[in-house]
Amino acid sequence: MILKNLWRRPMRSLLTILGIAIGVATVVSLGAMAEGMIRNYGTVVGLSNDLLVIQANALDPLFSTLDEEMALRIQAVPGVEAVDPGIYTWIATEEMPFFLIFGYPPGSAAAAHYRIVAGKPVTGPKQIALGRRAAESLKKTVDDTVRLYGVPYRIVGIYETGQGMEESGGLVTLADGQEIAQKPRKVSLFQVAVRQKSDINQVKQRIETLDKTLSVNIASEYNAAEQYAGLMQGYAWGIAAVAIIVGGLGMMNAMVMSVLERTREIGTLRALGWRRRQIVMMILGEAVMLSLIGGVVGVAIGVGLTELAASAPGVGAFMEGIYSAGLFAQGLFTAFFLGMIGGAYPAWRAANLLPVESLRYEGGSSADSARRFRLTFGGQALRNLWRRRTRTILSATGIGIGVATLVMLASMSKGIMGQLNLLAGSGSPGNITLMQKKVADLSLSTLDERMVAQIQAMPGVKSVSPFLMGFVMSADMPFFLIGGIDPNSSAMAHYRLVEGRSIARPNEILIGKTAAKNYKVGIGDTLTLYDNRYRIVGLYETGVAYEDGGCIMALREAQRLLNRPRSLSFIFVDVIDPDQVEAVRAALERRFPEAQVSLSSQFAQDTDSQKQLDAMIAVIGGLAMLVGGIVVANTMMMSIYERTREIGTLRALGWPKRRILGQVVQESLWLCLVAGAFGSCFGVITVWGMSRLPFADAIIAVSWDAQTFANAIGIALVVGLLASFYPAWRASRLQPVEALRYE
Amino acid sequence: MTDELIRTVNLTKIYGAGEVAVRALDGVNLTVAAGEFLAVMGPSGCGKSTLLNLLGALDRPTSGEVWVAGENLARLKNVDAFRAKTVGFVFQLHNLLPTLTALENVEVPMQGHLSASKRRMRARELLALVGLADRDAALPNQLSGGQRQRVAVARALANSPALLLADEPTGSLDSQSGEEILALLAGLNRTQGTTILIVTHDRRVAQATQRIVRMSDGRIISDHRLDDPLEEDLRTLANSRLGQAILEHNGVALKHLCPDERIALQRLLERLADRG
Repeated sequence: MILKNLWRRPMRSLLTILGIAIGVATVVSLGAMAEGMIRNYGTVVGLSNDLLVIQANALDPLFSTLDEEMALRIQAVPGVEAVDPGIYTWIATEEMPFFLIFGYPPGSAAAAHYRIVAGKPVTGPKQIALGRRAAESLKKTVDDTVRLYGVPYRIVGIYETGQGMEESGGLVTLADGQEIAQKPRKVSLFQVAVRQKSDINQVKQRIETLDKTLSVNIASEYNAAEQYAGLMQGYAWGIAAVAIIVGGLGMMNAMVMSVLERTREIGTLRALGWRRRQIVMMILGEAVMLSLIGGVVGVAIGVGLTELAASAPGVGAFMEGIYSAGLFAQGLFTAFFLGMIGGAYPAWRAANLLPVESLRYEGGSSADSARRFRLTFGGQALRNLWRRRTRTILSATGIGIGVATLVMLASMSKGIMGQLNLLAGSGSPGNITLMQKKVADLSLSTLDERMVAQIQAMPGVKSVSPFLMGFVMSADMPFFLIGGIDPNSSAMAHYRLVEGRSIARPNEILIGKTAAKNYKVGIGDTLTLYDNRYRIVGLYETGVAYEDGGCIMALREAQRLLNRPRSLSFIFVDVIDPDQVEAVRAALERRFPEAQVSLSSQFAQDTDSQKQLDAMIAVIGGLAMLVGGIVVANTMMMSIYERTREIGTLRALGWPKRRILGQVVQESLWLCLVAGAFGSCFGVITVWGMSRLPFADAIIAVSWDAQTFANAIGIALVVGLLASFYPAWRASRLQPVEALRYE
Repeated sequence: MTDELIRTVNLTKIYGAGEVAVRALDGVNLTVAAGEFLAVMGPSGCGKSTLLNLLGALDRPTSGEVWVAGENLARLKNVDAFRAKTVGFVFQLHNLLPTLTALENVEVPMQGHLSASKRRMRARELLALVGLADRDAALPNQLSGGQRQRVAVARALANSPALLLADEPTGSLDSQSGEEILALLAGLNRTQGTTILIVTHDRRVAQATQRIVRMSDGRIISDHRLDDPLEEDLRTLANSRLGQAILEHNGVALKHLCPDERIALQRLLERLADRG
């Protein structure tokens, strides 16, 4: 009986299954990708020895910087057999947004990890061995050249390691790696071979006592991504949750419709002596059946999507999925859960129908209040929506969640980017920002300190402010920005002191008002950053969320603390005549080809971070809108089934097909417009709520503009239009004779 | 005939194909003059609704021709305009749109043909014509069955059609409401000159018209005018089981009638049967 009931409306069942399937597919594919990312990323440094030494407190080897000379001290530790220094960094190229660079001394045990399958190993300067995937993405082979920051490297070999991310990079000599990473005489890590494997724990302890800046890990136990794992899984779930909620609403909607449509039938069953429990079981059974089919389809789609993503050129290796039985179980459980939740309300409604009333039910209730919509301005469409309020609300919520997601993400992204433009007070007209070209992440930007003096001497330049940026990300301090700034530079004016005095000594810092509030510290207190203690001498306010949630200190001290001597993240240039800003920018670009020179007001827009953020928003928003669109299409299908006789009547009265078509499309558009408006409000409220969470004010910056809302509602309308095509076409194709006879 | 409105020539409609084919209409020839008020009668399944659908251009014939108001419906280009302007439909179930008021329901066929203000004016006139001027703002579920059907009649008249087609218009009404609707239709035919064709299986409904076409198994079996109500009564009697018994068994079943009476009745019935 359950199957027959579902088969009665194959289109509706199909759309419902599809809605659920997309939710489940999201769970499966994002889950698999997160798992793969955690596992792959954790071992990407090419572990080939017993111990891995990196900088203590570094988020992962990418952010780790150690002195090259440390190798000699480690070598002297009893029990150590060999020490291989290594460099590990990311750069962005046209074809590969994340191109990994590994630098190891030729012939070392660490370099041997990269098994050459074509050509020969790297033996000298300006040679590179490419990973198999990188070679495919770059469409290069042995004896070709690749340019890294403009420097040509000859491809001498192709390697494999069996690990997707490693194979998305290239191996160079240590010295070349240092040059690419802009870390002269520095390394990212040491790989240490132990003489006696049984001594491994003692050797680890001995190295750790050498210097407190060292963190020593046993290679077989090491996973750099452990601290990201929770974050990444949470992230995957967050995105999936949007799809799940929307899919669940679609399910509830379909079941409510199914119950309404069968009101008479249910009345008959009750009159024939069926118990309420039997009715509830029937409706729940249908819901669970639909959702489980959706679950299975979703798992299949999820696996397919993951495989597709993993084969994408350039970035595929970062999306390689790892599947586990648990993940599939999670997907199916999600589907089952959706079925139960989505079926519960309709089942309750069905069970509580009075037999007498449901037998008398004719379908198409119409409240007096429907009259409030005038016939003009799409009144008929609005009344049809009003007629089935539950359905309208459910489907509007579906599409509304999509709109809310878009509004939320877009406003936060704009906020963050807008604030980035204001970093260190650089946003005023006539300001130029320099950063390193083609870095994968803003925090990796490295510029030579000597550029400051050179720029200062250029014509048209009023002042130059160097800036070094670092972060603390720990359990106690989820996001704490460290700004290194020259206390005598003009950028200092940006940090408006609200209390205390300015920095006079290296161990003094100023902290932002938000940070003072979040960490409950004030003037005279000390703050410990990477085992260094600093005295707070003043509080400042800038209006930029992450500056107010962090601290600033003297540039020299920041360079020492972050182990980046003589290097800078950004240089802010103030020109004398704002009208000449473009000319100065062009001059800077010519003089420093390694730097990306932007007008400060559009600096963030020029970065790759912006592009990545936009792409992410497009994916999440697209997903939510896709599921929302399916819900709307389903609703419109149900609406025209229900009104088959009405449509037949209209056709008999001489309404042309396009008029019927227009009405269905109009109804869908109204639905999406209303949903868009409510979704926008919901998005605003959610962002406001999120910004009130503890510590969130140090990260979340919101920027509202009409464009965001216009975009979101515009997309909702496009979805409404697309989703109404098939139902509208179906409606217009109804034969009047058959439609009039329809029961 | 000069003002012929409907003419069908060997009109045939077959549903399905092969073994399961059903001949809903089988060579129907019918001519109706403008201004007539006629009923098509017959048991369910006799093809009367099919005939109505073909006359209203809701369906297309399998073979034969159907002409309405000078248009060959099999070759009609703009079916929608024909439905909107040339014919008006009244259904057994009123089929009003539940979300629209009485006035708005009457406006529906005029949408796309008249301006909003003209529509409103015309709809008010029509509601007044069917005696519902004061219920223009009511929704269908606030009206009685008879009132709803009157709104449906007003809606059918919206674009002043040459032909009004009514499919069992009293079928879902109580007898008093049914009589009111029939009186309304008869009045429209008299005063407005609208040609009205009613499909019904109810003899009393048919007798309210001027001409009765009887159908059975997709064919017309009789077609006559109701000039003399007495003659129609006798015809009904002749078709009844009693009449058939008198005609076929030479009156053996009527023992209790005296011979003179029996002979008179039999002669009368035979004469009627001849006239057919």
